[in-house]
Amino acid sequence: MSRILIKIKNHKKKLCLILVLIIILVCGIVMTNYYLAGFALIATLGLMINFLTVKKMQSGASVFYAGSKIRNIDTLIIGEPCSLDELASDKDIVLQITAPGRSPGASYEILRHTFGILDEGCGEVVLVVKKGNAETGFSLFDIPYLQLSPISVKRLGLEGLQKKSKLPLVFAPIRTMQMLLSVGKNKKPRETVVPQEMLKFCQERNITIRCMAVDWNRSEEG
Amino acid sequence: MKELYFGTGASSCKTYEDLRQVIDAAVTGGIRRFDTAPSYGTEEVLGKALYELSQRYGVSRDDLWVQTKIDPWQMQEKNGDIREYVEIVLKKLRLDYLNALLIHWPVPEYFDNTWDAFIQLRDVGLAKEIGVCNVRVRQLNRMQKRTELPQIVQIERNPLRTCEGELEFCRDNHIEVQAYSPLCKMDDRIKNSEALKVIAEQTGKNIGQVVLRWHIDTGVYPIFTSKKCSRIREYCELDDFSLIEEQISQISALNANYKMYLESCICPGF
Repeated sequence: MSRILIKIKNHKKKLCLILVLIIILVCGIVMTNYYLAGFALIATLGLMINFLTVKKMQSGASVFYAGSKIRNIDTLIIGEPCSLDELASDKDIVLQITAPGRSPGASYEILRHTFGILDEGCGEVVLVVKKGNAETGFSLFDIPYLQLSPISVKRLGLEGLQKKSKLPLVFAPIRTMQMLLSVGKNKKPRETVVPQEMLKFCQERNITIRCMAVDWNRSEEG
Repeated sequence: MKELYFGTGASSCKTYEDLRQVIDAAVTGGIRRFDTAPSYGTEEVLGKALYELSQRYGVSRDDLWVQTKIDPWQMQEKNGDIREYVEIVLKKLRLDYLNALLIHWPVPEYFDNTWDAFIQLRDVGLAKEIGVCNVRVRQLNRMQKRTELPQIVQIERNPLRTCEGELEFCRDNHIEVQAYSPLCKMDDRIKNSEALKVIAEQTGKNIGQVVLRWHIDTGVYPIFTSKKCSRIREYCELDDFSLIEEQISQISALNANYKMYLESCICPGF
């Protein structure tokens, strides 16, 4: 209940701020102060983009909460955005946890937090990596999944990133726009070798895993 | 009702006055087993309520069973060396010892150290029994190889998640199995189940009572909670009926392996 109340409170705060900026914009136009009007317009747009991104990030993680009925899914796709055509059949229940620029290290940690949603014994994980990306770092787009566990943020030293995750447009403007515009969703992935650590993790839990790579230097989108 | 536990978790009352009333209903209904945890925020009020009600109804300490847990943040904070927290909770609960102490979530990074501390605490008598919540056979096998098996296992279990593998393992190894969320918060698939409706009619009980009886008849101790005293009294009336094999099978057939709480989220790398 408290979580819902906080959400409503934050939502109201944001709406009030947007309303104030719209009033400034209207006043600016009426008073022919175009600098003021321009500032208000940009700030309003920025706030709305930020709000939409945060909402998109949070809604992806909401299926993991206790109240959700979504369980026993067939395919869990983690990593970079890509075309889903060859990754799952139409009959499959698929959950996609993707964000542009997600490192393989972050994908592994997200897998550790989310694999429980898979159908036991027959669920499949598809890891999608950017060709040549072997990073282990985290981004603020990983936070909604990592903070599902009350102790992970501290264990991974992500307290700063957790604060930044409320303002994605400020701290990761390019990735925020890429995420909102679903950049990369048509990239065709090609099968590659599964990282050893993830393979072992999945084998121990009776989960099938595939690793796919997307090449951002090839123009196969559209 | 020696097989029933009264839980004071997420859905239970939190203030002393409210909790005292429901604990009163539970104690007068014959319940003597109580479950809490630091994250529920009820340890102190439960201790106070049990102290008062035990005096009023003449219930001795030997007749009571009080168990609590160690939460992941406590395991992390002390890297498993959790004795200090146990001493604090004993004061909160106004007890000299716990009947059982359980690891709430088997967080891999801190599990071994915490379990070693649990064994020591049991050996010095601060906890009579020790156990683990939210485990699977995989973790139990590992525990068996490393040190020893728990005496108690507490899992999310209900007709939508029958946990056959865990039950079989625990039965074979004489481990007590407790079920939290035993009614799955009366999920529509339980509330509207034709099979359960028919069994309820056959036994003259309601669906909640039938499901709790199903737990007991399959060798599991259900931990239920309610904010309504009338509901608690209702659920205490399970001694006057039992289920036949066919009814048990019909209820078990509702299994959909549905989990409300995903272990991997709260306990990454589980």
